[in-house]
Amino acid sequence: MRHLDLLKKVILEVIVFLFLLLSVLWFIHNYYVNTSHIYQPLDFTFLFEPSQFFINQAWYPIKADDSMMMIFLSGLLNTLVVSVAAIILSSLIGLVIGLLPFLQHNSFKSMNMKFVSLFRNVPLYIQLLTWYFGIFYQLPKPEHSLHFLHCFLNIKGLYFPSVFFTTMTYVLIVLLFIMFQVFKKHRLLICFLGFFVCAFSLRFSFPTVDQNQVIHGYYLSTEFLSLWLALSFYSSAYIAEIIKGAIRSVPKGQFEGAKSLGLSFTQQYQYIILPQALPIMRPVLTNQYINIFKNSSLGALIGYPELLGITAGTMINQTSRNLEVMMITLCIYFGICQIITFLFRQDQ
Amino acid sequence: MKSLIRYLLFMIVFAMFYVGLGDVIISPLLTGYHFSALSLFGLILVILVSLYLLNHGYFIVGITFWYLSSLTYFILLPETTPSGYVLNILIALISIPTAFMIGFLLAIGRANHSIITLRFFCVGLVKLIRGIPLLGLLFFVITVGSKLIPESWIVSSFTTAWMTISLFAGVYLSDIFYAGLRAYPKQLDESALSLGFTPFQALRLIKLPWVVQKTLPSATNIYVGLFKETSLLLILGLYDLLGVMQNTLNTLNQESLTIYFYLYVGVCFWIGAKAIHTLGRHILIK
Repeated sequence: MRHLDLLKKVILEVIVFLFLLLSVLWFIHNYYVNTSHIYQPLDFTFLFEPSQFFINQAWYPIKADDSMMMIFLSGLLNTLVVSVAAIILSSLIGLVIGLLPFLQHNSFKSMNMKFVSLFRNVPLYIQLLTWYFGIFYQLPKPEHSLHFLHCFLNIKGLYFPSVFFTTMTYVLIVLLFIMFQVFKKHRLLICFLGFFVCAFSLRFSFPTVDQNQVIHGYYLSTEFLSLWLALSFYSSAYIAEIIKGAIRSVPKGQFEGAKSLGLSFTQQYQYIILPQALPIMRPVLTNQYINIFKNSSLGALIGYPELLGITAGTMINQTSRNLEVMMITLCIYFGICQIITFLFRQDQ
Repeated sequence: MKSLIRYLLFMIVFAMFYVGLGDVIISPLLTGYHFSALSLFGLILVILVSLYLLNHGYFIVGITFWYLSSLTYFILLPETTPSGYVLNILIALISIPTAFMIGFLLAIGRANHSIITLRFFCVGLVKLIRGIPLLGLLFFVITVGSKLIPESWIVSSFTTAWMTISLFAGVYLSDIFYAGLRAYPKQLDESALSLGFTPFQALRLIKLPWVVQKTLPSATNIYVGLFKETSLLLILGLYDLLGVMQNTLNTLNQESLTIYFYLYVGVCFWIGAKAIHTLGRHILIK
């Protein structure tokens, strides 16, 4: 009887394996039949060919003679920058919104519920379009740009003063570090003085309007700003719920104990409640951060030069290698998600 | 063993239906009728009936009935691809049972310990699709999807959207159902077998309702997410609410009104998502 069961098991195993193998072969066969008239065997040599296009609005700009591989890296860098920025901002907003219901005031509680309900139930794509076309697209042209505190805001983006380190700054930093280590009694004073001395040795470059465009200074494009804000507000609603739930799961005795010690609200949450809530919300927060990373691909739809947008849009048009480009792009997304999961994994 | 074979057969039939037969079944029905409000009425009626069936313990019948509800739309409203908010609601309504089926099949495939190949396949598929964004999946379907099936199969963008969205949501649901299956007490299964149930009957009549009931709150979140994902239908060339509004905006040619149009779209989606949340909570309380 036992042998018979084993035989059945083996037969089932073989049938399932053959079925899966055949279906994969069927897909490959179809691909070859459909592309036979243009003859496109799978090859990845196009990665080393020079790209024929520019990407100027990137953290790593692409020139025409850079190889195709650099485009993936440039796009990935753009995606990572926007997702890290969104992770930081959404965590901050989420923390503030998540702590609102614990403030002993009814209006704060309803504010939290309204915020979460508003930003969680509206799709991210709609929020993104509202930020981009509804708000940033309506800004004035560069010659009439809004300015405040040396910053300029117009339809092209936000310009703000750039900072350069001079040689004097580097020398001062080294000196201050040595002083910081030697005079251990006056650390606060050294920090305070050092900040001002370093600030005076820096060199700023202020943006100015010059013939229909703003020159000098750092620059964030409206695509980046709208994607950043939309992602942060959308995810902060989820993060607020996570933080609220985690704080609720801390035993009630801890709150009472903290209060009876005479700690203020900030001290209670800083030293007693949040350190206990953090391990509870860690796995859920990781999931949310991965979601932010994946959702940043929506930037492709408003023209932010982002991994999926560059590869699935421009690069496929350029090389007409659909399968290879999509495979590499999706593998990069998959790999980064696995890396984030691995980094935030809780050791048990 | 018998239940496993039945499961495999069911999976194969479902996969065949899923891969391409959706259009093949629908296409003979595309003759003769014109737009009528009756189609939407019929759709709502069928869904109400299936909800009644679901409430009274007929899970598979109810879900299949819901699944077939898409056909009522195509019987009564052929050749005019639906557009506007109706399209979003329609795709969400027919994707929810499909996603449910995909999720449950993948979860059972993951939980079984007799066929290792099947388990590896299910785990691999879930991990792979969880690691990529929906937009990536949609772009993949647009760019290479048409080359992976025979040229003679003409899959409409409606069916493409339906299948992609339901696959994506189904994978997330499968994780939830898998957790539910892990939490399922073994004694219930043993007592069912001792009462003379076949394993498939035990799965259908006891395991499935138990797991669905326990995982309802987290599954509702996925359903809401699925509804929100229907806002991406525009890139498949379907005129959903967003497409219609953008078209109107272009013809109006008044840029200052842009934000009100997008806010209107947002409010519509907000109402829909809130409705699904409320429905889920209502069922949970019952």
